[in-house]
Amino acid sequence: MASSIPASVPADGTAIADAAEARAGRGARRTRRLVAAGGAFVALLAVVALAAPWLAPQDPVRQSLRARLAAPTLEAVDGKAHLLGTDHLGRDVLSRVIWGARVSLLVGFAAVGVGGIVGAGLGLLAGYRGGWADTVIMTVADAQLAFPFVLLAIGIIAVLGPSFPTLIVVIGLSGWVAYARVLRSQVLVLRSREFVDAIQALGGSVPRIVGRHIVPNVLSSLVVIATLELARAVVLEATLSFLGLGIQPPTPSWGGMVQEGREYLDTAWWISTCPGLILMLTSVAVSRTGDWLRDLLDPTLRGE
Amino acid sequence: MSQLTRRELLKSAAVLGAAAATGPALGGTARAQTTQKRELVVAQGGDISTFDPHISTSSNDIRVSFNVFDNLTSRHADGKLYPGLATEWNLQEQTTWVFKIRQGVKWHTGEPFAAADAKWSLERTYDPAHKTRVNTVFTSIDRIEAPDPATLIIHTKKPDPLLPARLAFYGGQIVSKKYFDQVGADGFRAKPVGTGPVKFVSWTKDDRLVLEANADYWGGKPDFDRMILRAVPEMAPRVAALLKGEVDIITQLPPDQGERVNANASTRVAGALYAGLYVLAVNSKVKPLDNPLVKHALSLAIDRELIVKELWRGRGIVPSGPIAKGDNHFDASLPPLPYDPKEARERLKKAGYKNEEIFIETTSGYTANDKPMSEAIQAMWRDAGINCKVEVLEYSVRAQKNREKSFKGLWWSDPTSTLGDPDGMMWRLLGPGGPQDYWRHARWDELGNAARFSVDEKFRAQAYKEMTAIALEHFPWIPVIQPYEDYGLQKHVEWTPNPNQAFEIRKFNFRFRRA
Repeated sequence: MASSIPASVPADGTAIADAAEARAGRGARRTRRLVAAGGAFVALLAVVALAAPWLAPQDPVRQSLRARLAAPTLEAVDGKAHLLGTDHLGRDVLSRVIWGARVSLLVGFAAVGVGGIVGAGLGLLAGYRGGWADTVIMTVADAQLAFPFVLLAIGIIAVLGPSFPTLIVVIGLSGWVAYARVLRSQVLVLRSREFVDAIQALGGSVPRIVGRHIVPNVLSSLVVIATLELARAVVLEATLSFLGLGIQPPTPSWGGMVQEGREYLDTAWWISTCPGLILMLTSVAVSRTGDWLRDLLDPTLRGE
Repeated sequence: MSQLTRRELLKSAAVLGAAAATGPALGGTARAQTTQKRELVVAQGGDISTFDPHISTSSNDIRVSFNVFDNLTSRHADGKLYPGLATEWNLQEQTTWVFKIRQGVKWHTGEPFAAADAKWSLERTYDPAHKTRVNTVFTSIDRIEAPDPATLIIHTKKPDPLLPARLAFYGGQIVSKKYFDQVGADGFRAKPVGTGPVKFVSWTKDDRLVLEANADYWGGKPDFDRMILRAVPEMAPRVAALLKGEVDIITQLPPDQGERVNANASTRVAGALYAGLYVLAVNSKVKPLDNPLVKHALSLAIDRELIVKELWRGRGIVPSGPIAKGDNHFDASLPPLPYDPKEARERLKKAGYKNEEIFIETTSGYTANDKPMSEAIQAMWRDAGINCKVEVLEYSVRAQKNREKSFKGLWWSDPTSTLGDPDGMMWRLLGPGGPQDYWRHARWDELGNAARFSVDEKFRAQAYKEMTAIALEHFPWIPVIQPYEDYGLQKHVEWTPNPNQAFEIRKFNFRFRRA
């Protein structure tokens, strides 16, 4: 920091530092507000997803071909009001966005669970055992990182056929590397710490050392990665659904809705725009929350 | 406010808008209606895959190959056969067709065209050495003779009443033996030479094909100097290019866009009733689709009127059976396929249907409205108590399933009537060993085979009538709609689309309205 202050700046450096601090303070406050907004949005989304059957004004798969492509309106079209309009089959866009939240979050959390368990397990194994297990796991991880995953996912789903479990496993496995790499490096450090030596000397078993002493120490990293991965999983689900490989019709999914509305962008913008906006807000809100969690749980990683 | 009044409002708004837009233009002697153009620009939904007319039957390719090349016979937009490179033809014996070959025709290279070229070209389609994609078109031909440059004699193995019709469609494009021998297969593919109204100039992959009018064309020079064919796969930019006046004709205009194109002052929609049907083809080998009663229920539970009226904005008709309207032996007395969900439930009960899953494997956008129709039908079937699952397939996966005949239940097919006759549609696809052979019926097979080789049209009419009745009992296809294929045109273009997707730009069918 000091080196970046030009020599011609008057000796009154404290004032500058104060101003910088004040700026930083304002920045931090703004960041906190953003984070709060992000967190609130995620919480709201979770509530909406859980309460979808009661919140959605209509059945999300009920079609009414006579009321297709109706613009957002408070008035009733074919007997129903459509706040966000209807899609190309006359389904209520608002209801589909609400139910889509459920699908998005369900796939997101389940995928994070799958990826987290696999990734954390392999990371712990690689870090604690080292040797050939470490070599094999890290080679596989590097290979996967080198491969464009969406392409791989398309291949896998095209072969296995699209289904809910396949989707969760594929998206989950797309993220395991992040957990494995971070956990491995942390475990490598922890393993050589005195308290581990001490427990070993006292005759603690490996499961006990890992389960009682190492895992609690890496839990915060795990939570941070999981949050960041959640945003990625939600977007990946939308990507695959957009390509027709994710959630199958008629179940509403944001990515699928964006795809269905693409043809009508200039005549019925609401079909794609509404789910697209919500998807964007969700991914921003979740990753902001992840950043905040990281700052909170691990000051050494602080970004700013 | 009901949907109907909303529609009407929209319509009157569109009319007002059109009136407002044309108002000022009227002073300038209706500028939108005429042009000084010498260049025809066409935007189609995909790029060309090959210039060899015998290697592809895709609609993006035949729009080019039917214009760079000529056929011996030509099917016009009115559905009738006209002379092409052959000026007349007649049946001499049951199995001998004699064609009189047009004289004075030149290849684009300037070399004269003769009957021997036609002989070589037709033989090439089924010559294994050339590995063509049209090797099944002329299987009825036994041998071909070209005794002099003006005569071509074709001997068929059995009587083939449809030979002149076959010659008008794919496989029938006549290519030059001499030029092919000179440049080889790759050279030919890179720079095709035909006798047609346009000559190849250049091609930039995924961008544009430039063609030049053939001033010496035997049918007269087309009404333009150059024709540019652009590949615009996405619908929205294709429509935008038309509305902005960048292109003269666009292909594959979805029904939902028709209103916009017609409302725009300088553009209009032109459609031709598709020479074919959109059907849900059925794998009748799997349970419960092996039971005709279940298939009756599937058909009865589809509200085709609603699909045509709403999803297609009225741009189509409800089929009455497996023969497309406009074909030989189409039975105009048959009623459109009925919608009767109550009866559908009855038949399901009688069939002992136990809520087994029935699959529709659909692509998304491969044929117009495929996915929306699948979902609409899924909902209609659910209302009738049918447990239907829609699966979206990648196009390549669909192609593979089609090759391996491994569809799980129902799938979309858009059979084209290549000959204007049921033989070229239902028998070609559903016949034994055909690409959609998932169902066999002894009597149906017997009739189809007899009709193929009969020159007695009365007998054929009777046979196809009975085959239609059998097909409506067993539903190897569940016909859903016979749509219009719509194109968007500038109003300064006078052009009539052909029902079989051949893109006819010869002088008799294309004209710029000039000021």
